[in-house]
Amino acid sequence: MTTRHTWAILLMVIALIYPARGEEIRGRVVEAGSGAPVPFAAVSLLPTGDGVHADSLGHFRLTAPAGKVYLQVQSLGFRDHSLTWDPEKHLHHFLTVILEPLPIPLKEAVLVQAGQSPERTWLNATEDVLKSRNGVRLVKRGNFALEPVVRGQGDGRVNLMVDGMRVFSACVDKMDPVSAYVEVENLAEVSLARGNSDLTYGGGAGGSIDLVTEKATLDKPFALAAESGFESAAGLMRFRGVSNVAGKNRALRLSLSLKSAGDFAAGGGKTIPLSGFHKANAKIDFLQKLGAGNLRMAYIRDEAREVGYPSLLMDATRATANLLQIRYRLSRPGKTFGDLETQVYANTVDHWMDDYQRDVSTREVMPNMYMPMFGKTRTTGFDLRGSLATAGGMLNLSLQGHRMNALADMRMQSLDPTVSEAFLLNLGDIAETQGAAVLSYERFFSGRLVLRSNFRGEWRRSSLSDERGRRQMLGFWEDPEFEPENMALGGSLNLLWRWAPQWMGRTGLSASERIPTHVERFGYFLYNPHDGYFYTGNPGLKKERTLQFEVELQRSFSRGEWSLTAFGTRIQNYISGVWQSEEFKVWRNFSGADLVGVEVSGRFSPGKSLALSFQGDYLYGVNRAEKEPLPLIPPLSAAWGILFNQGRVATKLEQVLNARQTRVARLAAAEAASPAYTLVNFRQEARFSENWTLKWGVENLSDVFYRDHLSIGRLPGTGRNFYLGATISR
Amino acid sequence: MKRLFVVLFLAMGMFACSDSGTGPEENNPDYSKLAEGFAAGAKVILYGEKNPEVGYNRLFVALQDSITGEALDDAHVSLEPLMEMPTMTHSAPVENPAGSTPVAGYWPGAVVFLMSGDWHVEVHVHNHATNVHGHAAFHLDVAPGSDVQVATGADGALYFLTKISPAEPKVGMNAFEVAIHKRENMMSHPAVSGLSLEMTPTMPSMGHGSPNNVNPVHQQDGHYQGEVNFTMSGDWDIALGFASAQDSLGTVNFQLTVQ
Repeated sequence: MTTRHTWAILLMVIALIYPARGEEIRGRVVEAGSGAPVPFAAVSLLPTGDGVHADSLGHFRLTAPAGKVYLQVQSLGFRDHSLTWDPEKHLHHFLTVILEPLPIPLKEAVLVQAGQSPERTWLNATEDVLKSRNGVRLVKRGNFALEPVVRGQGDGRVNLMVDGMRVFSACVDKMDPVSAYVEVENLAEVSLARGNSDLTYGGGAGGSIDLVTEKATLDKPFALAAESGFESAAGLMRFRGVSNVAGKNRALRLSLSLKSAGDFAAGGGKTIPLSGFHKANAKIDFLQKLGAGNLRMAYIRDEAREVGYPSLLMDATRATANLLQIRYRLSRPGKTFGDLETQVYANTVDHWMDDYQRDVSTREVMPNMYMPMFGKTRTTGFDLRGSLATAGGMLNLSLQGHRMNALADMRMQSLDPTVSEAFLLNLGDIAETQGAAVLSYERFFSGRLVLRSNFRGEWRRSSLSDERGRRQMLGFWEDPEFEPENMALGGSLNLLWRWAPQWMGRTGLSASERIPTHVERFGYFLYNPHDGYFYTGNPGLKKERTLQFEVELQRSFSRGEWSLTAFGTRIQNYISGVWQSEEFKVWRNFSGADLVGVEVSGRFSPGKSLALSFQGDYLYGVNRAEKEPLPLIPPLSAAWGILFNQGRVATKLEQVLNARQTRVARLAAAEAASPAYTLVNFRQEARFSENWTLKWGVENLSDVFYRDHLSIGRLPGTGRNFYLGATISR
Repeated sequence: MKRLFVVLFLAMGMFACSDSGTGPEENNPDYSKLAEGFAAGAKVILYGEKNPEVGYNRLFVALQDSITGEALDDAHVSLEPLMEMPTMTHSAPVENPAGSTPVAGYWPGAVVFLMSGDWHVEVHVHNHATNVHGHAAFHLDVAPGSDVQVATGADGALYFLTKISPAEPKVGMNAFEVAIHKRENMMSHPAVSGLSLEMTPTMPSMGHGSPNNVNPVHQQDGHYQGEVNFTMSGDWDIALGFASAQDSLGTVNFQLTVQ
């Protein structure tokens, strides 16, 4: 038996013998209005996620740790409900939880709560929350800022938002996905809409991810939490601190996060050079209560330095982001427009990268040449939302608009001093102005049948203004349109039917349009390490049109639940790269692409202290014109976990399985087959007191050397990684 | 009535003087005067778009009556460049002005100076107003340049390929024009038409070329026009292969820096 196995068993034994202690909470979950019981609702403690299911009559019993606790109650077809349980006030009281009937759950809301995952995973970055979701994968270019893709679609086909704000990446090499700017201690919820069922943020075939951040709260007069952690694979050290100060009508929340990592080790101990990073992130939130409304201001400052990208040609020397939002919300229950919300925002993203740390004399692409690059985006926007309760239904209206400017350039400095410096504009002063209206209507029929319709109309005007940028494009296209205007329309219909207390079905049909991104239209000489070509935009691209059909089946029972989703998507005018000349590709519309997939997940609690969970997904994509698989389609994958809750100690063992992927896009992306792999993770978490938590564990326990199919440049995944973290709060 | 005719006559004379008094420099101030002399009862003024340098040089001849200074508008003009070296004397490819009437006051022509140094250029004038022949001789100091490439063709002939444009290459599509001449003997360099050209621009330091280039095709007088795409600024090399209907004659390379 190896040393690592000895450690694993020792940690499990510690978990099993740790004593249980706490208070019992008893209650019942009922439906608002009718007072009918809500069977099998999930009642869980925050932030740990420990919990139970109510029985068929809505009754539940839950053992909570000493002191005040936060509860969350969830049930299919009902709005999530959170509440505080204080033993001084509620001990021996019977708790009645009233749930409001649902909007159709077209989105998955992953609650994170101050950096603590309900699934006991180790959260180092926001992508750690995303990667555990069905249908979501991460494109890896380094050990930092992994790019999320949903159902095999990324970039323009996934709307990645922060609190409903549009933030545009500045790096044309996709080093800075927007998710990098939200640290987990600031992440309250990941609102994940797969596919086109919800068109609130646009009509991309992949869907939308909205990273909802933690805000200042009046509920905590004074709260302070700090966490420090270590990871062995990259020698990562991190520190997080969060505080909340509140008076009667105003509150202030501050957070700070510092991370520093060296080169990470892949399986077998192989060190991947140039993969370290340093990052700092701060967030300030202010809340002022104003009568029936409240005014919020939030500012995020994110700065990363010396970020290595081993699978790319360059490394980021510096990346900064400033996100500012001001939001006013007016809640007037019973009024015609009872809920009104206005948000204005502005953000800036700057990104510097170069290859000064690389040996450029030996590389195949652009040898003997340094290529420092700079990119920036500036975005301002607004979002107005209102809800109108009607007889038997709910009408939601959102008016959105934004203005974005983008610029990116590259210099090429030869090692030979007699060669002149070359220069080009990757994005030549691009402006994008967009307005959109979204109308959603939910109609409730007899409380068991709900129809949700969702319509979006979008207008966008893009322009390429720089004279040099225009001349560049004229070298590729004859008489291109430099100031195109487009309208995009979309609509979806979803029908939710709960025909029995334990069974629910959903079927949805949607049609939407996606206007090409500014990069797809006006990008210039963008190196794609996936296939080794330089891509140039196509101002004449047509809109993509997506037609999607989706069915979902959910089953709840006394000790768990499962769900099965199947979908089919047809994309017309599919935008992809096509060979243009040696080393160059341009984007163009293909006649079409098809995606079909299945997603399954479930959880089961055979006993009070034991919970099983599983999930799996499969995606099949084909470019009909090229008659080959779509790129970045993950292989068949599955994951399962066992969670033991023994009092203050939780132990989790999980296994992640990925099949071999042989369906690869050779023409579009020069993809190669990727082998199957299996990872085993072991985690423990101990709450020594209400204020003290210790986490430790090991990921990739058997130190497997593997390459995920979505890793650019066949970058290997992280090897065995021991982690240790301590959280203290008051 | 007689007085009226006198007044009208004088007025016509004033307007006529006004027209003839407009000098070539006023027609195109971008031309710079290179030299002036006298031939066939006329003052011969030689203008250029720039100071002469190795390559294709557009030259403009203006003629004025040597006594009255009035601009002449009926003459034949031809150019004869000559380079006298210690061991040999040779001429250069020439494009002589066509016709006997000036264009905007000038007889336009061109000389492809093949090497730098002191060139002897004779401007031959046949003044049709006086039916007098003569020539003016000038010395031009020609600066070095890299727009002329010389290649011995597979047919054994010496070819001169002269890049005319782009003179100031910019990022994006540029009109590309090259003139091709062939040495018959030291004093004769006729234009060559009917060749097929293949143009391949590359950035040697980067190892890549550019798409959407249009190979030059013959227009007239040995001039071939196409389009070249410079995808970024920096040092570029244009390889220009030329072939007759029978043979591939050769390839020359032009180096230029794109701004």
